[in-house]
Amino acid sequence: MFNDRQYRKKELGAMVLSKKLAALLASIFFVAVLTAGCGGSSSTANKSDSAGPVTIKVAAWNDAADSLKAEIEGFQKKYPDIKVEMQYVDNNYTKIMPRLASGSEVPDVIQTQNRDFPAFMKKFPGEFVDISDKVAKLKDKFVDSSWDPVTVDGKVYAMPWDLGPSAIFYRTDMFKEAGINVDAIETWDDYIAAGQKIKEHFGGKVAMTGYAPDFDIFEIGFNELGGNYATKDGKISLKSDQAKQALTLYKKLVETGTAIDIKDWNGRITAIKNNKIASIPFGVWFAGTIANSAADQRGKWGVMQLPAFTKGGNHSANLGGSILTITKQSKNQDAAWKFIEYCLATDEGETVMLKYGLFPSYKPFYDNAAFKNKDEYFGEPLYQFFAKQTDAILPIHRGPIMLDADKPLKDMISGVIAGRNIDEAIDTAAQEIAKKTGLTVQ
Amino acid sequence: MKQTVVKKITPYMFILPFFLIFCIFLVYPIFESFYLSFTAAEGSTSSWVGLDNFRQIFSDALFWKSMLNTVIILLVQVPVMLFLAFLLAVAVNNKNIKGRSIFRLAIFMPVLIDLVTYSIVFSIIFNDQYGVLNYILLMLHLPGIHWIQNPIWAKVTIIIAITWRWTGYNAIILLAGLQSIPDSIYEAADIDGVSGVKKFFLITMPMLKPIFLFCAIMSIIGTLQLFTEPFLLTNGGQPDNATETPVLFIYQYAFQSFHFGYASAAAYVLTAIVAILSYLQICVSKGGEI
Repeated sequence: MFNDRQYRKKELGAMVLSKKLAALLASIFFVAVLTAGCGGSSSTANKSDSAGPVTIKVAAWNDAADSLKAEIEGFQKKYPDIKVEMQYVDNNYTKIMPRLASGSEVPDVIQTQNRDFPAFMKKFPGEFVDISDKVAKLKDKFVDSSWDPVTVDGKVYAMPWDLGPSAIFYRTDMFKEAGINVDAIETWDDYIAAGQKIKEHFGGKVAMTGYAPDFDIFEIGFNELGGNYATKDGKISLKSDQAKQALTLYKKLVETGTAIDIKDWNGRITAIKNNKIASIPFGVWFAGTIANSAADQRGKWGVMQLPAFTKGGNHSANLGGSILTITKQSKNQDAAWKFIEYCLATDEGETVMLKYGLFPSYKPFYDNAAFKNKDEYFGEPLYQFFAKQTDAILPIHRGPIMLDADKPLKDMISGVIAGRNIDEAIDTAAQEIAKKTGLTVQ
Repeated sequence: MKQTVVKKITPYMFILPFFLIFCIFLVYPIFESFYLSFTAAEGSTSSWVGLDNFRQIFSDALFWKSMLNTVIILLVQVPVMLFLAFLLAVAVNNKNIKGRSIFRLAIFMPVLIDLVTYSIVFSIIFNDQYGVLNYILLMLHLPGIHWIQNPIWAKVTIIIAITWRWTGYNAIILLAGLQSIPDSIYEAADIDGVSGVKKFFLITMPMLKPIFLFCAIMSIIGTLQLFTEPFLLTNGGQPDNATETPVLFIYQYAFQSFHFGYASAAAYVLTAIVAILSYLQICVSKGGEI
């Protein structure tokens, strides 16, 4: 114990000292900040592409990342000097976005959804490499519509990866039990009627399909009808008859109990595993997920055309699909391109992709034997079926809006399900997108 | 001499790591986001726009809807929770209960459970298709409720969830308050022949007032910063933005569409509102003095 006087003396000493210490602390802090600042720029050595082995970093998500990882072995046989390192990121871009914004630790190659890429070009200008020269010889070999989202002002900034021709995956056993004839399902109304049969037959324990708080089912309908999010001169064109019809369908699916709330992606898988849903309108890429997560339901799944809005209407829609882009930060842009080219524009590369259910935009591969093979899980030549769907897919213009449109579109749908007027909900969404993107509503 | 200097520096060296981290991760972001709030920073682009962001936020219907949602949740939830917490605190303060410490631990447990875990568990309980809650309702021959799809029930869901999580925490704080009231005051009242009810209103309540105030302020600030529950439990503020909160709004702008400038401005507006509310609360209750 100090007595009072001793204590005061100590305190006084501490005060004098504290000034020096404050200065010391400040200088340490300053140095720390300085060195931290230097850290970023000191690693800009080694610009050369050719000398010695190089490593490229590739960021992708889920099955797509798995497929790229599976490509590495074959790729390295061809290019032993290029090492590839996969980085698993999330498809909401929360891991990749801070790196792009700060410009540090940016991977050489980045995956984005094809619909989001124009928005990336707008929000991160000058971050992606112009590959127009490299893809010039490949132009005709890819599905025409796949070049739209990667082309800005006539220049190509990314490589189209997969497409998402859509169909309905359904449980053949459940349909048979409930007495549903698949060939008789021509329109969405037929689909809903079949849904009632499923519900009745299984005593409410099985629903026709499920919905999550996204806009996938809306987009399938919107694309079937030929709707566009934006005009070619950059105006928001969501306010349209197509949007209204697609939303009306969505509302009907939910209200009739044809679609139940399955919360999210994982909820959908759980519902499939537990035999809670009998069908899923989705893109071709979902085939792999079904096969992987419900291996015991092998032989019980089939695919059928999407229903149309009217008899004889359009049965085709695209949902999803991705691109790969090279970043300006990359020190090995040529190596990065070699990897992309190998994966997406060679038969060897696409054979691996197909194993992961990624449907190629690269047309020469449609003649490959692997493409025509019977799918073991589904028991039919799955990809040929989807290839037939691609012909009638209508192009969809989006403009650089999809990152900003994501929430307004989700809000629009959940609002309509909660009972909002459809016209009003579309109007609100269009205004909100316009506000966030700075574009005008048509 | 040298030794004394070392002795004097030592404590500062111990707190140095904290202050370094504090400066890098808190002080710097505070100033940086203040700067950002005057720019149109979006992705890797940025330009100075002065007060434009603030002007837009004041006319942003969604931002104010999110504020309104929070205020509705707050007005219902905080009084209910504090009332329940008080009952719990009085109950576990009762000397006749056996195993009091076990009960005290039990009511404190919810707050120890990870936010994400509990939100996901609640989202399963409240699922309208196979949630246990609707299962019980159906057993009682009541119609199931679309908890997460209906705008009103979604708010109720959030209120139930945060009440479950935070009631015990507040009860423990109130319990500490109850125990800090000296027995001698009650004894004096006994000698004067004051009835039990009167003792409660004239002694217990006034003595607990500062604790209540503390709990209320902390709860209100906490509720204004509501994020995880609407993010996970109601799928990011759904349905129809009925559970959208200001922090969720900021998150969505900053990290889903990369509008850093606008999000920073919204964050500053929210901070200002929290500061003003807290100040008013302290003023109204005169600094919590008895």
